[in-house]
Amino acid sequence: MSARLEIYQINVGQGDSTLIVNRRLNRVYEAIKNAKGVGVSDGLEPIDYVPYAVANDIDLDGTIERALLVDGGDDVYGDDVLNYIKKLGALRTDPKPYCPELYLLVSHYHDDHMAGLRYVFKERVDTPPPKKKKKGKKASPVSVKERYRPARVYQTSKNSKADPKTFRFAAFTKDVDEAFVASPNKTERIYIDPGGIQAGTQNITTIDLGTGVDNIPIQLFVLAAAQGVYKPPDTYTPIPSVSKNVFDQNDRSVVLILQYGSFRYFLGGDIAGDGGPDGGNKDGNAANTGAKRFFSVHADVESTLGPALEAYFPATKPKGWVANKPKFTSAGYCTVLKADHHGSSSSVDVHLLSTVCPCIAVIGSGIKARFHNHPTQQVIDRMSTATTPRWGRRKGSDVDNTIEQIYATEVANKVKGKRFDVKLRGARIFGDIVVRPVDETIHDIQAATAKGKELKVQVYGTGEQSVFADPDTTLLSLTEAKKAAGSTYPLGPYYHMDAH
Amino acid sequence: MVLTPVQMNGQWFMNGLTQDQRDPFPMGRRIFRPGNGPHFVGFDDSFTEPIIVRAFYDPSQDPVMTNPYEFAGYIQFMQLNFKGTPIPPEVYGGMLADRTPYSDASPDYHFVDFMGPRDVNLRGFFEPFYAYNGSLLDGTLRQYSDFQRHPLPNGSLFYPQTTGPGLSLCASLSAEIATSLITESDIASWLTTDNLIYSIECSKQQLAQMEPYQIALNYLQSPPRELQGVGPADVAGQVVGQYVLISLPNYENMSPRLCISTRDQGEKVFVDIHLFGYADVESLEEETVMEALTRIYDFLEKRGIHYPGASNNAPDGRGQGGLLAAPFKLNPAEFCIELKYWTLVFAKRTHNLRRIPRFQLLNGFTWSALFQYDDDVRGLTLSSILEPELVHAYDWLKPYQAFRAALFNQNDSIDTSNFTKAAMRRDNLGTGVKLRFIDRSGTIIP
Repeated sequence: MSARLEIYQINVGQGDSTLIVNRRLNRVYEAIKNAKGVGVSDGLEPIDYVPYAVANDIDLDGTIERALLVDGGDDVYGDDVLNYIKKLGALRTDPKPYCPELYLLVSHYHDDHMAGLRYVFKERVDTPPPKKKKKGKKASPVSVKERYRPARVYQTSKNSKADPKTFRFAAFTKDVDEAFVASPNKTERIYIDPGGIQAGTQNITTIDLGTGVDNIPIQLFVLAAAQGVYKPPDTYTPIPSVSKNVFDQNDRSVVLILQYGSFRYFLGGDIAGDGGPDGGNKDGNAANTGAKRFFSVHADVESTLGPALEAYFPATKPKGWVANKPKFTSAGYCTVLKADHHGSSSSVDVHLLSTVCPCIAVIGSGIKARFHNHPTQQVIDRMSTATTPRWGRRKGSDVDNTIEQIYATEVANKVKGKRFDVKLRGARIFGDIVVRPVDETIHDIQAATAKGKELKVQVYGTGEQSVFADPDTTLLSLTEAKKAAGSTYPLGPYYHMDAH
Repeated sequence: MVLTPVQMNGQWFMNGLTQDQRDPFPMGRRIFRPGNGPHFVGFDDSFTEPIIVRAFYDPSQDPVMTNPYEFAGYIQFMQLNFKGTPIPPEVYGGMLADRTPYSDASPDYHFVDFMGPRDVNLRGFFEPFYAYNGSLLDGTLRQYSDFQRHPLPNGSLFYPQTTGPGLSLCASLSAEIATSLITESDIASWLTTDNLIYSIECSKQQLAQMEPYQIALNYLQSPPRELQGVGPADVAGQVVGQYVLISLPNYENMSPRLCISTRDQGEKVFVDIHLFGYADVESLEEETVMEALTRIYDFLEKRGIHYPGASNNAPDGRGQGGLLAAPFKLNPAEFCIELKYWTLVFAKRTHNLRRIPRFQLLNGFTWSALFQYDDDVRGLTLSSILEPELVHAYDWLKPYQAFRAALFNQNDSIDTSNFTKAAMRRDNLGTGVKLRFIDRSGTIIP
């Protein structure tokens, strides 16, 4: 088996960071051979090369065709993200600082997604504070210098009203601006307009990560951004702010669909849906509308996004079951859904689930740097077949819950002594969650001329978790014992099959 | 007349402040009588920020007050410490950075708690009796003798030879502990017409009876507006200069903040309500804390004082780094920053008498505001008060001389809201950090 496409849901606590890699496995093989000798890799399948190399600290520099880092978690996880993606070969050591294979995308400008990205651009230096500061101007005592320069940065187009006024955003913007004018080898900047349309064009933003097996393209499509959901061919449906011109950055999240053959991965940032009954949620899995929640500024993006997903990614028509094409049994399908907004109860409504029909659900949650009681019980229960065996649809009959397994990065146990009671319904706590579709099954479905071929997806975990200064703040344990250091797969691997 | 504290509905009040027995005066949630001496001290944590301290000096309990003084009043001195090392106020930053003009030289960095040089020179109050700060809010307070009235915004002077209705029978102080690292200018830069959600026209009479934030909350609580059912117990308040920030309840801890302020428009006055997103305020709070720690680190390093770095012996695990990583390894249980106060009664004579100087320290009390740093949320919180202790001596001359020297720089100013907000009427807001009180052995006082 082999797997060229790797998706790493990096554990950044209560935040998000996702690294998507298109790997040149032959180069990994060479790296292992050079490090360990010819015979070592004989017992390994190609799908094992990368985790084996990571477990044995083998340098993977130069083994990536292209990588995209979506968000970097909060500042407190900045070096964790940097160290991890470096280990995975996403950062070039030569010629530093330019990383020709690395793209960055910031989904929205909240610290738990954006702040850690600064750590890629900059490193801290110890310089004395300025002797004189200009009157009225605040001088930051933290000095930085350039660290790395990615080849490309994707971000939503500038909006003086909507963009935040935080120092962090200003600093991040400055980082990108400096990389944009650097020489030689400056960073390319791609702005994304509302609806996911690439600025200066009338086309949906498409991020090309190269090709996988059989030259099948690995691409990401931006289906929503900046409070707009794509409406083909060249416009968008606006999502107005809820609270009178007060912009919520979550509403402006970039929504990405990664596609590799018949495999899809949904990344919705921190968008919200309708957590109440109108979102298809019922009884215990509906958001607690009685709970105090004032001046909530979340708009409902998912209700518009769902139909857009179905329109843009239709089911394969009866005559479409031909060779050399991906195949999908339902419109809007994605194999893996990363829970919007860390599993907030106003997100991941049942209607969205009934559109996406994922086989696997992934949740990025935790405690640092701000605990928001995520993942909520409501979202876990909407995803769990035990509590929600069927999903209602916006139109048409209910469908079966398709989720085989929920994976979470980490989950709170106690926060400052107060217990966080969430029933996980069998979710696996994995630290970093690695998802990889098996190339052979990608090939098989692509080549198929009839229904029924199965997509095989491998999931494993690293078990890396956060630590806390307060001894009364603890995490739930990993759901299985981590294997000894040096093991190829610290947790798992598990294989999931999804019929196409 | 003996001062008598009374407790009502969980709050303490003081009786006996004037001859004509006016209404009991609020002291706060917790009171102390240091050394069973002549001082009563109350701490009011109705708002998360600032904490208000109210002190009363009962001359009938102090034999030294039989001397022929003209008047007596509180003067307050301060000092910032990081793990026991004094630091100047500008190194800490925020609202306290304004006090730099009064900070005496290294190594002690004591400073007088008083209005800035510009206001001193404008008003002519060249001795830093705390009560004089009331003139920043009340323009009728122009002469020294005006400050014997009660109640006044920042306390009263005691004139033993003068009695009468409405005149204070004690020296008193009403001061705010304003330690916010967020400043008024930070908030001001965020106010836009876009995030202005309501603008309530008010009369000056309304504002005389109610604080702007009270007007705003009452307005929002009226049906059909957004805060129906929300009461004082559900919210937390923070004053930053002229702005009041109200945190609203949210069961996923994504609390938006309301920013309340007033705006004059000709004859009309408006109470403006702006809405800030939860993440923006959290980001600002974290940023200011980490910058403060970095400034403190740089200051100490320059002086050869080195504390273990946060990365020393760090356990394996995620979430301990970043561009703004704390330069120190700080135990969340330790009080890393101490804001120490000496709240002292000085007595004044208009002319010398043999053995009785014109200006004399009688006695007072010392106490501290204690801060804890939580690296998990990168928050610095004023969490505790070290119980007041009676003192009879303090080396006041050096900071006093620094104060007098600073008066020559007439353009230097201190944000007046450091003093004027002590007089703000405050509902007891239920959420937010409530103080603990620590005795001198380090034990929490129940």
